[in-house]
Amino acid sequence: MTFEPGKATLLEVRSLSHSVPGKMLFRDISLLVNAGEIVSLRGPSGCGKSSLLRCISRLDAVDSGEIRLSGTSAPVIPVLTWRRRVAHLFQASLPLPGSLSDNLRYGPSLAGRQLDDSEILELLASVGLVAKADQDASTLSGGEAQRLGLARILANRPEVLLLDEPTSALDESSRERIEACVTESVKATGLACLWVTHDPLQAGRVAKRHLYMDAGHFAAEDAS
Amino acid sequence: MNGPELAAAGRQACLAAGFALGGAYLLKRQGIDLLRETATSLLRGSLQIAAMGLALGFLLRGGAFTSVPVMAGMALMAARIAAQRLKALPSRHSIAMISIAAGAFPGIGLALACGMISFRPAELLPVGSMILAAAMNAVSQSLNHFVPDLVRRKASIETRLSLGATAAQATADLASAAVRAGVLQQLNALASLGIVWIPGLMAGQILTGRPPLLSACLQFSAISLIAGATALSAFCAVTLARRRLFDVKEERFRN
Repeated sequence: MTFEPGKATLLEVRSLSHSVPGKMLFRDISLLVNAGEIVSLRGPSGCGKSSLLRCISRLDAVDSGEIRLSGTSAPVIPVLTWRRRVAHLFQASLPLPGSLSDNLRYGPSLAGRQLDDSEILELLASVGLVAKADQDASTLSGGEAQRLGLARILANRPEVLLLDEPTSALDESSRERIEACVTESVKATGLACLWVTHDPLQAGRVAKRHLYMDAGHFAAEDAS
Repeated sequence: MNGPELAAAGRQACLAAGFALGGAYLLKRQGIDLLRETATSLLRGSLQIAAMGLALGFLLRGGAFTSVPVMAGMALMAARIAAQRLKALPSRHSIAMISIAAGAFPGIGLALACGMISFRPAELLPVGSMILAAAMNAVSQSLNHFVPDLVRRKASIETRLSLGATAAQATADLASAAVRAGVLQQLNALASLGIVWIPGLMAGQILTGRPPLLSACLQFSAISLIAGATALSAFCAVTLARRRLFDVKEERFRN
């Protein structure tokens, strides 16, 4: 675990373990992600990376350990608030029914916040979809849907981004868009980002600190 | 009933069962294999209805006290039948029982309270069993839509959950479709009453000499009660299934 002095730790995971019946998915995982930092997380398929992200976003229960957000333990923060503050982008984003604008409005509306048109256009512009604001989201390509997924989680104004191989199935142009959008958002708003990727080159491009997971453990950590 | 009458009724029943088997056979030829299930259901149904026919002869002449335990037994059987195809749903028997009771018993209670029927078996059992059967179908239909839909659309539901939706919000469209599936048959029945079909209760009443308008009124009341019961049962079943499949406090699928 590395702590960068002078920066606030937004996400803190301590000794986290998670299993499903008959299988330990990961054990005793600890990590810190500071504000304004992107940490890459790599490892072979099935080593527990996605499960770790699911536990951090509280979609799965943990066996033991603790997750803290800005120093506050997860159980103290209501789960709906937690999920707005800790955004999770899945490997393949699914558009919700309606237009792209409707998709962006969904999260904030659940919290009673109306997203105005300028915010919507700004978010869509950041992922290169501004021209399709009123288009039916179900007509988007896979790459566009993933970019919409990123804009949709950013609409919730999160403090932490959990990205689960967000570009693994995308073409180069969509990948570049997503990398640019995330790095700019992190720089501009001080988000903490944990980015799961299989691609060491991508990890090198987006993150300065790198974690490597194997068979449910952290096998290595280094900074570039 | 004399021998020739019984033989004729048996022939008619065999012919009708053959028609059902023929339909299932045609489906099988198209790759939809329901033949075994149809045959089993026919055999089971024929034994049950024959036993019920004999029992009814006894029960309908019995006192009011016999109605309640018979209705309770029917409700238990209805729950068992409604739950049998829902192996993916934990606590399926209790969910089916509570849901059927939540719709059927208020409907039957209302029929008793407003004097539409009395506790006499000859009145309570036919009307009560219609309401129970409809509630059972509604539970079965709605859960058979809802539970597989939840599994199939888990990714979409978790997308909504991760954006801050509650489990109820994330599954609202699926729940709505499932409840609709449960009640649609009865709503169609209500809408087509007297135009597309003439219900047996009304026909029987007219045959026994009751004025047609009064018979129609009784039938309308019965069908309306059934529609209300199915709506309550379907809604209850979907709500209970959701509570069983989701961790309500943490707003996520149960592990």
